Formats: sequence, C-alpha cells, structure tokens
Amino acid sequence: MSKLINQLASLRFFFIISVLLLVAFIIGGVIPQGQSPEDYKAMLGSLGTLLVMNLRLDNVFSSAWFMLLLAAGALNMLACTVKQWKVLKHRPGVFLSHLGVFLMFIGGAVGGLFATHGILPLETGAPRSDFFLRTGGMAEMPFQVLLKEFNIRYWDDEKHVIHVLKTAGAPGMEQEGVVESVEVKPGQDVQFKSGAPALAVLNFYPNFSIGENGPVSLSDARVNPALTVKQAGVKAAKMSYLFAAHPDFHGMADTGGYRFVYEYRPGQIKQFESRIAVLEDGREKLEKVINVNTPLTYRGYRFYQSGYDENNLNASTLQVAKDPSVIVIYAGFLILMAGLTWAFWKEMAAK
Amino acid sequence: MMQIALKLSFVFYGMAVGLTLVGFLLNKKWKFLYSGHSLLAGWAASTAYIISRWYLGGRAPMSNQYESMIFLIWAFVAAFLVFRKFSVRDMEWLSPWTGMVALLALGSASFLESDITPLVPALQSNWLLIHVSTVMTGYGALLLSFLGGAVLLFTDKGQTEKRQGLESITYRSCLVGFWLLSMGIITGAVWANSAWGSYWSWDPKETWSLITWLYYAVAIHLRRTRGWREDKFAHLMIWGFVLVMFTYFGVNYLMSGLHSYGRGR
Ligand code: HEM
Repeated sequence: MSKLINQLASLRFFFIISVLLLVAFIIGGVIPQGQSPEDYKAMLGSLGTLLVMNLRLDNVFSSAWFMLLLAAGALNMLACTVKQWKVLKHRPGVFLSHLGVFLMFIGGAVGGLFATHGILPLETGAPRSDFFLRTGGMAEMPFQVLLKEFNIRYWDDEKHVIHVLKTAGAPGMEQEGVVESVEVKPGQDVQFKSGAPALAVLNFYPNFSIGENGPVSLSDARVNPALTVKQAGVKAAKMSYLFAAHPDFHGMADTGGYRFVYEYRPGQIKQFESRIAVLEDGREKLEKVINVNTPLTYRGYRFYQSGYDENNLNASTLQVAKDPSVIVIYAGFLILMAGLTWAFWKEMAAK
Repeated sequence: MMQIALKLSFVFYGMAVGLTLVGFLLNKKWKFLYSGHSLLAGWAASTAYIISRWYLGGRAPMSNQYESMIFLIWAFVAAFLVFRKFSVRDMEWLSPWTGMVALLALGSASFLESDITPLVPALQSNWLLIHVSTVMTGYGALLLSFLGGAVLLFTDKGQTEKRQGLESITYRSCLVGFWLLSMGIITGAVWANSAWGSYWSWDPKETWSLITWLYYAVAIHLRRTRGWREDKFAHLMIWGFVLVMFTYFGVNYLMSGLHSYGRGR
C-alpha cells in the first residue's frame, strides 16, 4: 500500500502525467473542437474522421480518457501534497503551491459534475423562470427573471449621408458617378456645392413602412432606414423617399440630372445593456442594469448579457451560470499564488 | 510627439547594438556600459510612446496585437533593466542582444495594424489592463530567459564566470516569468468568469497557455529535482519560448476563438 502511495507521489509519475496531459492539450488545441463529422471529413479525410470520432478527439476535454488523465493528475497532486506535509515547516511555499494546484483539480471536478450553464432568451414584459441548458433540455429556477428594457449604447451617433450622383450623359459624365457626399440631419435643409438642388431633409424612419396615414416606422430597430426629403424652397415640391437599403429607388423628379443616394452609417456599438428584475411569487426582489462585463448574481445564479436581436429591440438573450466550483477554484488560485510567491522569493534571495 | 517617441526607441535600441560593436572593434572597456545606457534611453522612449497612446486613446493601450506587442517589448527591456540593477556584471553580456531583439520585434510590430480603435463591448473592462499586462510582462521575462539560455549555449565552457552569471539569470527570469504567467492565466480566468460566467472554456488560446504553463512547471521541477542545469536548462528555456510564441502569435492566426481579437478586422 505505502509502495503504491510512494509511486503515486513520485516525481516520475508527475513527469509521465504531464507529458500525457501536454499531448492531450495539444490535440485539443490543434484539432478544432465540437465540429460535425462532415466538417472533419472536409478537414481530415475519412480515415482521420474515423480516428477523431472513435477516440473522441472532437471533444477531447469532455472525453472519458481525458477525465481519467485528470483524475490521475489529481491523485498524483494529492499524494505529493500530503507527502510534502513534512516539509511544510521548511518549504511552506512548495507545499502551498501544490495544495493550490490540487484545489484546482478538485474545483474542476466539482464544476464538471455540478455546474449548469444555459441561455435565457427574454422579451420585455414576459418574466420567465426556465432556461435552455447548454447540454440540451430545460432547467427551472426558483424565481423569475423579467426584462424591463434593452438598450444599445454607441461610441458615436449614427450618421446620415446623402451622396449626389450625376447621371450618365450629362456633360463630362460618361457613366453615372458620385460628385459629392454630405452628412445631413433630419429636420434641416442641405445645400450642395455640385449644383444639385438643395434638399429639405424631413424625417428619419429606422424601420420604414407605409401605414394607413402615410409613412411610419415599425420599430426603432434599424431594419429599413429611410429619409423623407423634398426640394427646398420650392412650394409645390412633392415629398419623396430615400432608402438606405434600396439605393436604386428613384423617387425624385426634376433634379436637373442629379440623383440622390442615402447611406445610413450606424454608430460603433459601445455596450449592450439589459435592465432586468428578479421576481419571487410575483413580487419584485431586485433590479439591475447588466452589460457584457457586469452580471447580476442572485441565489447562486449569475446572469450575463450575451446576445440581442437586431430586428427586435425588445428582446435580449442572457447567459445563465450556476457554478458551485468557483469558490474552490478561486481558493486554489489564491493559495497557488501565495505559494509561488513564497517559494520563488526564497529562491531569488538565495544566491 | 507619439511618433517621435517611437522613432527614438528604434534609434536607442539600435545604438545599444551599435555601441557594443564599436566598443568591441576598438577594444574599449565601455563596450557594454553605454549599450546598457542606450537600452535605458530606448525604454524611456517606449514608455513615453505607450503613455501618449494611452492618453490619446483614452484607454489602456492593450487591445490588439500591435498594442500588446509594444507592451511586451517594453516589459522585456524593463525585465532586463531590473535584473541589471541587481547584477550589472551578469547582465552586461545580454545588453547588445536585448537591443537586437527589441529592435527586431519593434520592426515586426510596425507591420501590424496600429490605428487606435474603439473597444468592442467584451474588452471594456479593467481586467483587460490587468490581464494583458501581466501576461505580456510574463512573456517579456520568459523572453529574457530564452535569451540568457541562447547566449549561454554559445558561451565557451571555459568562461565559467560568464556562464554562471548567465545560468543564474536564465533561471531567475524563468521563475519571474512563470509567476507572472500563472498570474496572467488566473486573471484571465477571473475575467472570463465575470464577463461570461465560466472561468475556463478550453478555447485554443486558453489551452495553449496551459500547455506553456505546464511545460514551464515541469522545467522548474526538472531543474530542482533532477538537476537539469546549464545547457540542459537552457534548451528547456529555448523550447519553452517557442511555445510562448505559438501561444501568442500562432493561435491568433491559425485558430479562432474568444481571443481572436488579435486578427485584423
Ligand atoms: C503543475 C503542478 C505543480 C506546480 C505548479 C508545482 C509547483 C512547485 C513549485 C513552485 C516548487 C518550488 C520550486 C522552487 O522553489 O524553485 C515545487 C517544488 C517541488 N515540487 Fe512541485 N508543483 C507541481 C506539481 C508537483 C507534483 C505533482 C509533484 C510530486 C510528484 C511535485 C513535487 C515537487 C518537489 C519534490 C519539489 C521540490 C521540493 C523542495 O525542493 O523541497 N510537484 N513545485
């Protein structure tokens, strides 16, 4: 028995495990993980795919043989740490480093067994308590989550640009070409240097459609951006439309050989934000604005901003994580760093 | 101002190499002294460059391959200068080589996209600064250990004093680098957990950093318990840095994952 423990605690065992782990990591780090058999066929051919599928090289890090390897590593670490108990007095840094690594093995196992991760798609006004598990299926939380509001914040404002094109056949123009591009603001007139008639830019419609009483925007989502314009200073001028998504739509007559094309330039996205609330028995317990780096934690569940729907700004997708191993892992981190600092400090001081 | 600082660091790192050459040709005593001073000047210019980039961008300059590489070179020269403070004699052998490596690396960095761009949401966190700066400083120290190992291998067995100095630097910078690499991986894990709820997701960058980390852990054990010193340890450090380079560059260009922001958009 003690011979076995000695073997388990030996450095030779550590070196062997390390080499095997390195090989496993390299396989998992080189072969793209989690692809479909067809993808592997395209990459590696039939023989390669057979190998990948049978040895579970498509999901190395959740394969049985990799778990076995980690278990062996954990045993090695445990045996080694316990054996080093005696040198705790002389070389506490070494002991702590080993203890820290061992805790990370334990934390990884706890995480693998008990952590849940999933996706929670929300729409404003519709609280829900169930979410989609990453591994498939649904899970139920002992409370509800409500999306109150979703917002996209931009670094800079969106821009509306009108390009003036001179139509083909005009003097000096073989082909239709852009002669001028001007940024415009809805509600303001715009003058052109190229000789094109001045325009009054009337309204901006993020998601243009024709309703019963004329143009409307179906939502604030920038799905079909459009501007209404008319010639400035001409009393009888008729209103017409410019569509960013349909540059070839000719809406305007009498422009003296010019054509206007509207370009919508979205601002650079700075942040996605969801204002969410937690409900228990219909009563609101807590409200918080979350964004990509600021989650909400409630009763062991954490909620992260993760996705949104360009076409529906009343929807937001959150990631849900419930992971009891975090505390063990973090303890391991702290102890490892304390141990390394202690051990290396001594090494560096010694000449 | 910013561009001048960058040009000055090129000039001073170049001088660190040139002055040693001239010193050798003229057989002067000062051959290493001024090269060390030039490195200090080049490093100061790099510091000014990083600070002005920080100021102009309104955020820490750590968000793409170019910025992280500039920081890596800065940290590498800083590591050299710190070690030099403690043992001028041991370090002087490395000063022209340090200048050479810094010069070549700065030159390669200049081929990368260097515009200051706004940060995508995922990178807007103080963890970006903490994580990237520890990892890059770690790489800088490991680069020093690579350099020490490489020069050691080319040093005649007879020059015992020089060899001892190099051997000690190679080992010490490996320890510093390993400490920082551990810290870098840990801060990355904590950041990932606070940004998307899992501290480890086996994306290629994470996997390769773990490969590098385990490799250096084994190297330290081989040295301490199996007596792999001098040339053997030097070889370990040289191959280790090959892993570092692959983790740093290779993964960005050959694989996709959470960390692929290093690619041009
Ligand atoms: C990746 C996991 C490991 C890490 C991070 C680690 C870390 C360390 C550190 C920091 C030292 C001190 C080195 C120094 O002072 O220069 C050390 C020494 C040592 N480690 Fe580990 N270790 C690991 C795994 C192991 C394992 C599994 C064993 C046992 C089989 C082991 C056995 C030893 C021994 C015997 C020493 C020398 C102790 C002494 O000099 O008193 N290590 N380790």
